[in-house]
Amino acid sequence: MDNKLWDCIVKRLSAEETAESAAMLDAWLIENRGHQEEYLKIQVLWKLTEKLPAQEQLDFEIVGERISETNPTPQLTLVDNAARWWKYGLAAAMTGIFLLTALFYYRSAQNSAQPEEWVLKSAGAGKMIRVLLPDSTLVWLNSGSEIRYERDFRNNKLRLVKLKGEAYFEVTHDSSHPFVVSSAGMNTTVYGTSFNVRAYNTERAMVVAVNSGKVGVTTSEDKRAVFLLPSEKLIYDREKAEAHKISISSSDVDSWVSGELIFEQTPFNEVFEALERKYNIKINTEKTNYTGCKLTARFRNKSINEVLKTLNLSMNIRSKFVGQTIYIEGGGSCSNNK
Amino acid sequence: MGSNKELVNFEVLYKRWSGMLHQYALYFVKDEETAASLVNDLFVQLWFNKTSPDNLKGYLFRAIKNSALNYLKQYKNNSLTLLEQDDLTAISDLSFADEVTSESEQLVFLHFLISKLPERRQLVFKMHRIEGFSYAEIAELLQISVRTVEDHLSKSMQFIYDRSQHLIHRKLTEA
Repeated sequence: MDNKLWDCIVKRLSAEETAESAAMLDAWLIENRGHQEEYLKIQVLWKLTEKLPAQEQLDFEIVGERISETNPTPQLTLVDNAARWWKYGLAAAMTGIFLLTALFYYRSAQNSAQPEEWVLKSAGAGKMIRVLLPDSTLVWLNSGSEIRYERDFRNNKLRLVKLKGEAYFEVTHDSSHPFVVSSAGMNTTVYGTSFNVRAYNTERAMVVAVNSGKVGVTTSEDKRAVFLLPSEKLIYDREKAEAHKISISSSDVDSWVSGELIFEQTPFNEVFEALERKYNIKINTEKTNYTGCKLTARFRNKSINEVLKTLNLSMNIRSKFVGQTIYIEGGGSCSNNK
Repeated sequence: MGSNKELVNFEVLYKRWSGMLHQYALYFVKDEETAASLVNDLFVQLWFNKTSPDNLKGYLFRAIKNSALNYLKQYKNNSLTLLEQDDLTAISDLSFADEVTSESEQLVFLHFLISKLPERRQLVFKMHRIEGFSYAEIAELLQISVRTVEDHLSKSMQFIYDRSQHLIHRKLTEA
């Protein structure tokens, strides 16, 4: 179906049809039954979108307070710059206070949370699951990952989730209950936002990337929070116990949710581990040498065979499927790799 | 000062419109906090003026457009030239282990997909499908041509359709 036809279809669905577009669409529809079925499917989706929930609303409190004053001053329209800067300063200070509070709550939650009942959700190799938390937060759990949370953590001061592996979060906004993702020596704190945390035990780096909103990350070595904004990513090197921040393309943050595999200068042992998790296979690398080899590649919904084809070419290796195990042979060390 | 009941009604009104208006204001001012302030100012004004416009939806959107454009005029360093991010966010067929079956699940999924549309396209789509503005009204509010509105809607539907096959027939085999 080309763009023109799509225009005609959408025009009919939204009752904005012209004689010309109607004629074109009708001509296409009578061509065959397949076209008619396709149109019906699009119509089903179109109708469904009408029921979409309204936009996430702003917080009424601010307006509520202002209208209960007798002499209101507009927040923005008439305020001079100096006053605005003062406000930003205040906002910054509040953020600081919030973080301290969050940290404090987190500590006390850690001390007192043990007897509570914890729920465990895990996604095995080759699986990806979506979990709805008690506070309506949505979590996409990547292959070979698990999260734990208290059965009713909405009653806690802190919404604490423990993660092993990788997950993408769309956190429901709640300014009085900070949401904390705790993963091997790293804590990510937010109110409500979407972000990705990757912390596989077998990988040297832990990564937090933000899609929307703002998150604060603290590590067991460094209790000062590093703030991340959309399109920023924090990489924490476990061996060196060092964190650094880089900018990224925002579409990469949750790309794995849609089945995409991205490697960026990833050591080969981690590449193989990622493939094992994603495709639920075993990879035997006893007969190959890939010391120091790194891979930068992007696979969009490719089968394991297609991925292997690319690896074979780029590394000069051979791979053989025996049952659920892939044997890799050949290759060479890349101690002087680019 | 209004009665309690008035205040409750007003809050309902606010909750109904603030989100979409915020996104609309963001289209012009490109800053979350500024956009939120513009929306809040508008509602405070509405409360104290006690005007009840005939066409509330039209009034709210027009008022936000005015205040956003005024704001931009006042702080000139923000220009009105916006970059069209037409390169679609990469997201292909999603295969969730748990099936998307109930309608609410389907809506959650659609909501997720729509959030992946480029900003402008998303706004056009929501204004049409959620708020029910016509092509011409959207074109005027966003200062773009009707043709562009059509194009955004048609591309949005293509994007959604390509990624929602499993919503329509669910028996697709897993990869």
